[in-house]
Amino acid sequence: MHKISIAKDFSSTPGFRLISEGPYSGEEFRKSKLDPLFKDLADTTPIEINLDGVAGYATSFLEEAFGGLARMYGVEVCMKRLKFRSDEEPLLPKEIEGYIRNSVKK
Amino acid sequence: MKIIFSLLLLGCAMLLGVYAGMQVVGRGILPTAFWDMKFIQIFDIAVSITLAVGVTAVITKQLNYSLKQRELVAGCITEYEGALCRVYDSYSTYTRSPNKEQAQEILRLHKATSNSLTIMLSVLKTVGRNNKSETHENCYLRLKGATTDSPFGLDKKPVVDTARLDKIDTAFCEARKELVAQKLALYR
Repeated sequence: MHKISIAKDFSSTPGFRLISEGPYSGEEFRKSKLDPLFKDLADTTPIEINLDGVAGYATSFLEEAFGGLARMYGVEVCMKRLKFRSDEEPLLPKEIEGYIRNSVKK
Repeated sequence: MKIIFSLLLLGCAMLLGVYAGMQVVGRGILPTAFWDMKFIQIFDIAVSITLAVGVTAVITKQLNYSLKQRELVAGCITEYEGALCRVYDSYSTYTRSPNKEQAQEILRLHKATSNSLTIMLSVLKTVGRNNKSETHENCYLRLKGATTDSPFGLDKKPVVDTARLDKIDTAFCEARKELVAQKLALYR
């Protein structure tokens, strides 16, 4: 299983949606951390994403990172491979899954 | 255990009282007709009073517990409501003078609000009043989406338009309306 801790591997203060809007954006996270793990379409290794340890997430960050990923690789693939963990904000995994499921509507 | 012990103690006290009364009669202080009852009648009265006091104590304890429980739940709802208000106020500040620090402050407040919501929902679940959990979660997510979805985090005016402000107001009012209904339901 691949493991990504957003606070340790990316930033403890994630930014907003696009790279043009400032550092540590959702787009930057998707391109630098998630895309490389999804490039190989045959790879089905689960990816555990630890969401704890950050100051807070903007909807725009989460939607761009995970909703954007679902738009590229499909909702089913993302739902199957991504496992979210958050002890600090138990509502977050549900929120992100909502962005993934609704990604096609964007 | 404590209740049983109290009841026994009360029963003993009553019997002691009866004994004292008999002694008083024996010494001729009260007329014998005053105690012209069979022992079984006195025992009946003693048991009845003991039971009445015991049942009252149990009911009072239950009522107090129920009242404290409601106070705790109402406290959690108020705390969550306060957290929502802080997000709303903070967003108003951000619209007046948008900057990245203020945007981060809103995100920090959202994290606290989300925690507060989780605590509230878990307390509601404990007392068996969690039938509107989904509604509260959706209301909160709508407010979060309205305040922190794009465009957000930009430090140049205008950061919002009227449609977006309407969306935020609607989400905020809906969330509070549900909380008031939840609070009222506690006292029904």
